[in-house]
Amino acid sequence: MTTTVQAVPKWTPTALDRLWGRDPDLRPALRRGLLGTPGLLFILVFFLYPLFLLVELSFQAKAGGWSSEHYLRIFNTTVYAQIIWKTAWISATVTLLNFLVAYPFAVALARSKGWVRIVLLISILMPFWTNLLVRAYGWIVVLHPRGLINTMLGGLGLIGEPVAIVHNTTGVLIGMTQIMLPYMVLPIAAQIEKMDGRLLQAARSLGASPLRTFAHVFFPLTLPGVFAGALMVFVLSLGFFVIPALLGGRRDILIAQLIHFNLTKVLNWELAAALSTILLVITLGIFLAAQRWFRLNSLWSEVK
Amino acid sequence: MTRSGKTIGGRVELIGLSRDYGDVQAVRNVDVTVAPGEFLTILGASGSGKTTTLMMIAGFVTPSEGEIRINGESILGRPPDKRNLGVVFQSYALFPHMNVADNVGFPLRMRNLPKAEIKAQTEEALGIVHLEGYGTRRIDELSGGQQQRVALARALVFRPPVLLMDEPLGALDRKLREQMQLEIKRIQRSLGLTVVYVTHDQEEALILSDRIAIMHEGRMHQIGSPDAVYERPATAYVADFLGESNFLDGVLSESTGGTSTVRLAGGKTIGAQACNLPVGSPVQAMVRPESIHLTTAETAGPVNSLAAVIEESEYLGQSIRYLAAVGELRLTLREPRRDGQRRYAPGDAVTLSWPHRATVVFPRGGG
Repeated sequence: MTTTVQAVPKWTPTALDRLWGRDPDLRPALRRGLLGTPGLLFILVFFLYPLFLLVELSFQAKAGGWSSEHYLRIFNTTVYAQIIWKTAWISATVTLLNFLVAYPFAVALARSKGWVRIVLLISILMPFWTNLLVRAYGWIVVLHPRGLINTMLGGLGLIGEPVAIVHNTTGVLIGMTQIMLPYMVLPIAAQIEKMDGRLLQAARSLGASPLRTFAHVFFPLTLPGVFAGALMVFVLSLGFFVIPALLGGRRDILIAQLIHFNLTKVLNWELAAALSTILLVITLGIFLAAQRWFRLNSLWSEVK
Repeated sequence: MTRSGKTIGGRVELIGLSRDYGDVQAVRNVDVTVAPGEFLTILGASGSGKTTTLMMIAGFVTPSEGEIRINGESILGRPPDKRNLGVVFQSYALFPHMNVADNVGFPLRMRNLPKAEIKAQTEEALGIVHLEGYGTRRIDELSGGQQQRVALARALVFRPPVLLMDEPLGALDRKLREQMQLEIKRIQRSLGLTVVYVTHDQEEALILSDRIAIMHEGRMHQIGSPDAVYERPATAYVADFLGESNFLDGVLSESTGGTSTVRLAGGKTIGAQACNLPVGSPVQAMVRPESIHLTTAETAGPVNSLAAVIEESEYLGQSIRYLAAVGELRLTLREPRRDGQRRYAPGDAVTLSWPHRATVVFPRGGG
């Protein structure tokens, strides 16, 4: 005897079903991905396409046709290599200074309550909401030889001559460190707030002094936030233009200024494109390395 | 202290311990002494002050008043890391950035022991909780039960005289919980540890404890062995919190020597355990559902017997629960299921009987 199997008519989702996410074959991740379509289109048209044009331009010879002459010129000219090196050095120093200032601030912010917390939050976010140029000129007012700091120090008799803290590397470091502060403070503070307070109690109960509790438990648990902040600050510093241009001296030319110079003064757009492409590749390389080593993804997703 | 073999458990004394939070008295005048090697459970509902009490012993909450002594020595002046007490937290509080061995070895590293010693003692502690060979596992690779064992090993590895446990099995499912209860009991006995255990689970308290301290609104209502607190509850709250109970309103009509008599609302009288209340005071008589029988057989000593009508019957597997009406009164009773036993149906007339000594008298209106 044979058994007949009643064929169940298979429901095939229409395009509309797909759009509404009613297609069971469409995996949930993909379905959520559809929500990103408008943003994705925007990025494609206004970001990725110009980026492609930029890279294309960097490979065009002055005399027409394809060439890598601009890249060869960059790598063979000492000044260019020095500027790239200086950019990396300044960015690394800004990142370190930022960490030293931001960490205690983030601890204070995460631990604060009520109005103290509001004051701390505003003091970190207020500059964030202020125009970059305004902030840069603000720093000049403060750091100038006849500015706030020098006047105060001179008035107290602590210094005879005004100290040079603007229109040089020091000025760039001070300005950039302050401006990048929120990028370091916020991820570290988020990490501290996510921390289970009982872990610290457990460490104490197991014999760790407050200092060793910090070193062995608290600090390691904030490291993802530190890495995220450092990455953000370093990468943003690499391409910084306004602060080095206004607070730096003549010798503090960074890669962004070099690009600007080639675009507006020398009108060598192909070379500017090549410099931009190099900056882009370095940035992407850093992100990929971070992704691989520090599992950057876990920073955006909730850690249990 | 020897490496292997028994640790000598410490004596814990809480003397007049109180903690206020503003106007709220979280813990009020608690006096308890935990003997060396004893398993004491502080049992209470949430907000009873049980965890606050434990955290005061651990050193995370400062008492408003009172004294805490371990082996006769006050520990109040010492920070948590100088108290040398093992603490197992509710959510285990394992360090997620360390593997199992580093978690368990943490207290030894903090005591600056030599590396070889740390390794040997960590392995021994993992052996005690049956996790040999798990040292290199990451914490998030472990099941809830395994995490619980790691937390236990970490709290035991430095051989503290006292182990404090704050609802350590709350997050586990029933089967695993029962298994871990046996494990904890085995380890506590074999090491001779003094344990102060906090839970809201009465069954867990009855299974694990040498003595149970029942806490309510910051006060210790009763401290005694599991059978003492279950069979002779000191207050109506204890009787109500621990297991099922029937409360019958009445008036104390007689109180002599070893027994007392209560006149119930309907006019019937029942015999009960002795109480030291004046005759004529309003009382509640408490009797456990499983103490009540539907036949008058096999009970030694004087027995209360009341004619009743079955109103409801529920089949529970191991037992059958009946709701019976005696005039205006309603009593719940529980009979163990036996093969070939008669099951009563609603409307059946029966006789309820229970021994006088299974009846406990509490003052009415008070807690």
